[in-house]
Amino acid sequence: MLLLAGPALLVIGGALLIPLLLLLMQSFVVSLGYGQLRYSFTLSNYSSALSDPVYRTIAVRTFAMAAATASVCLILGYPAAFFITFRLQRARNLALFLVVASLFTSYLVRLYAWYTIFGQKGVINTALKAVGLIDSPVSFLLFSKWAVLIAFVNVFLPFTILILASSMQSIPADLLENGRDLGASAIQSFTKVVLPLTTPGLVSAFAYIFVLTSGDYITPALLGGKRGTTLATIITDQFVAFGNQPGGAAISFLMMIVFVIVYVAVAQSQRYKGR
Amino acid sequence: MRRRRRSWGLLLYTTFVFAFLFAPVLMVVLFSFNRTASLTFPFSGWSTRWYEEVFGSPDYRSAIAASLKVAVATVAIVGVTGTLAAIAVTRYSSRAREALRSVLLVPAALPGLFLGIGLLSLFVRTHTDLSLGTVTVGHVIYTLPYFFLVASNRLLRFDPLLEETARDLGAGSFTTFRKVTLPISAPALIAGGLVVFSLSWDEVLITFFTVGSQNTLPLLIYSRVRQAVDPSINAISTLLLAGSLVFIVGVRRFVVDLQQ
Amino acid sequence: MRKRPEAPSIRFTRRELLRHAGVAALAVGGLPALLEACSNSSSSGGSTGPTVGPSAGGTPDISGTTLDFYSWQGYDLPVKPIKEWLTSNDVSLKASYIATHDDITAKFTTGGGKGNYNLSTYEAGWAPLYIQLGIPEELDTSRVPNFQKAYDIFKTGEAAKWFNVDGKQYAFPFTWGIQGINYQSDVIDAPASYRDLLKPEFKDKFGITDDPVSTVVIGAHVLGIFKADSLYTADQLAQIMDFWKQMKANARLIMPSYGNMGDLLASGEIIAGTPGWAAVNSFAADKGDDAVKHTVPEEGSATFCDAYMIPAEAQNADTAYAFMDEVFTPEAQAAEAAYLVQAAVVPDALPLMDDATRALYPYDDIESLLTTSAPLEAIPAKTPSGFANYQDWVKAWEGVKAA
Repeated sequence: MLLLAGPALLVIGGALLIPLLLLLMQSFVVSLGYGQLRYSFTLSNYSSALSDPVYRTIAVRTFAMAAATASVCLILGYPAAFFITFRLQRARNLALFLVVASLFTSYLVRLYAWYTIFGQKGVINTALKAVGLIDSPVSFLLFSKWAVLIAFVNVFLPFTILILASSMQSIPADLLENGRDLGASAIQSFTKVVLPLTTPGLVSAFAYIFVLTSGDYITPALLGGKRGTTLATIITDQFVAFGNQPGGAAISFLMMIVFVIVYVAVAQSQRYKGR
Repeated sequence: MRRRRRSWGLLLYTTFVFAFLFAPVLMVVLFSFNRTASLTFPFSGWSTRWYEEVFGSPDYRSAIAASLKVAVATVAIVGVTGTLAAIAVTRYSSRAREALRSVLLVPAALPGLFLGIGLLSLFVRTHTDLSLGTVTVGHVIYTLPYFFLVASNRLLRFDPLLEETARDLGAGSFTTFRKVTLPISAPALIAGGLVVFSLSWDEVLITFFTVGSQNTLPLLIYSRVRQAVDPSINAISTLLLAGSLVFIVGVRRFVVDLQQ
Repeated sequence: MRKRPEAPSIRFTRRELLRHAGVAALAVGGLPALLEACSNSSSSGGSTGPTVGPSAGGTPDISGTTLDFYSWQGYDLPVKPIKEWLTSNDVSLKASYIATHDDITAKFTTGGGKGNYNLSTYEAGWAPLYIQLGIPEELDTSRVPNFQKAYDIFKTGEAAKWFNVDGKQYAFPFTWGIQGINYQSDVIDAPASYRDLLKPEFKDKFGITDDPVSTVVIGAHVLGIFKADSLYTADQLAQIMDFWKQMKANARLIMPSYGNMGDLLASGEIIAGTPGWAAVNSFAADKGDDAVKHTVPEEGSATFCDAYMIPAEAQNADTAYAFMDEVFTPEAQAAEAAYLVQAAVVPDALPLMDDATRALYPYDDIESLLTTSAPLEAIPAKTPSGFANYQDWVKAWEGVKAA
């Protein structure tokens, strides 16, 4: 088996584990700026990251946005996944294909499309003005946390629908029908059958979206306006602008701790709820 | 008897969801034909100048070539390593299988940012020049879990009895692989390859850190979006969208024919 | 460190910055040896001595050679006079473009650029650091006679001190510009002061460019504490950043680049932006908006001046010298000013410019402008203790962006 799995393990070892270990080591070393390091052990990278009030505000903002994105994705995606799984027969595959197809346009170009939609002279403002609902264009739709949230949801919703649909597909449709035949109401068959069986998928999707959103430095930068800085931006800047790998590495591992907590929580919940 | 339930409410809702998902795509395609250089509503009129710009521009051409090289290399490497790993997983005992699965899925559990900075640190320390090769390394580690997921899911349903039978009949391991395993798992592998290709093609978060002096297409677009942007990015995106759709439909036909 | 419109084929060369993180010392340690080598390869000091070159006497033969250029896109001057010169002298130009000024620092210290490029640039303020790091070669002014056509202020006046240090010429300034406020002239009148942007009518309507150098300089002007040597105490830096935090609270966003500002002005997302740049007017015009203008408010502006340098250990320095000489001809200067939307350094170029280009910069006033009201400022890479250095500026600016 090792022979077969060997190459893949090598890739993961060489391209993931070793780099991360290196990063971990560097987080405990002193940075002299412009990419230079002094090899003496220090906890200063961690302590300055944790004690900086600006970083703390940004951390809260970053994780709040990540949690919001994940939640909205699940709330919006669930009914759609339900419909596709249980109410479509022949159209189901097409619907799922369309969901995936929405991702075939470049992530960046799709991002910029929101300028066209939310801008001062954008689609929404033009429409609202034409209908007479507003006199001057609304500005909160672009360069704001709403723009970032909507853009994130747009990116992660397809994935959410696919995961939920996949976990719903493993529920035999008879189970639902039998429930109905035995007199359970629609709500009951939903809460007692579908929901529990799809919870593992829900929870995993939440964790995954949370983690990936936290690490995205592009969408907030382009759509967030004044509030466009996230932990990811800070880490990127540390590496690219300041040549301060230790600082960037320390913040990364602090984030990693949060991720691990989230994943462990997910794993624990599955132990209780899984069947 | 199964009653078909009608849920007009849900149908309407799902339609809105699809509209939301496709709104930006619509804008992208529409404005790729915009007459002026602006990406601001309203649409100024039809023109194909941005498509001409994309085909004529050496920057775009070299970026596309670079992205292509990386994507193909990534598919090749991930295809081989991922397939072997997928086979390993479907063959062996539960515990080893779960452990292997978990390890192989780790890269997908981390934001691309972490993969990028990790690799950058590694390259800096080993004095490796940044190039399309280093970009490929990043893409390989990023897409491997996804390939593995797609391929192993399908391979799991593949009956090992078929292989055993072949071996009982005297075929060696490699022949078995070539004549039994591979043809049956081909659809899964192709699907996986497609996933890897499209992931690599659009990747920018990790590439940003591992690229040398040669831009890939997403990086070119990213620098344009941060500077002065024009509908040429819409044009290239629409072209890729059309290309992927045609390609996928084509491949599905081919695979379906294969299976028959 | 203003960010120019980047070439699409941009090099993310900051990677190079991090490449040698394992290597301890910068080139500072090797500085004496470097200067030694420099003075051997170029002739002494700056007057009219005989030229040094492969062929005895007269101008060296540069045909068939290459100009390996590393700097901002546009500074390779793809304008008619220069292109003709390249063709008629059979010189080919290979250009690599930078994303920010830091790329130059990195490239010619730890980034493996030494010996690979024979033409680059630096902005005035970087002179002290670059000279200390041994990045520019000491130059022979006799080999660039056309430079004598430049305004005195660049040769012997206030601006010259960034390029001619201790009698040694390290670079030839070829362009300059000022940074104030860009605004939408068909919506508002030119703001008279930076503080105008703090008024309610600008709430959520203007942008701030992500340029930590220009913001510090402009902030210092606004607070009346501007110093050309850029030595600000930590306190003063904090005051400057407080000003920008106030500005940011009233702003719509922080813009990643000047090119982006052009887009945002043209699409109506903002009606003003600062730090500004005259070139933004052209960027907006490209998007169909001809009404974007640039103004210098009463407090003053951030000024920049870029100069060509030959990086140490360059091969084919002859080619670089010949190119630089061509750059200072009036024709090339006029074409350059129009193309870059920046100012020229040679007065004879003015009559050759079209009215719009000439009107962009106050050439009549050039002496007082570059000496008193908007003098060039240093980038404080290494400072005496008690004063903030460039890294402190960038960190403080990040605090503003994050707030």
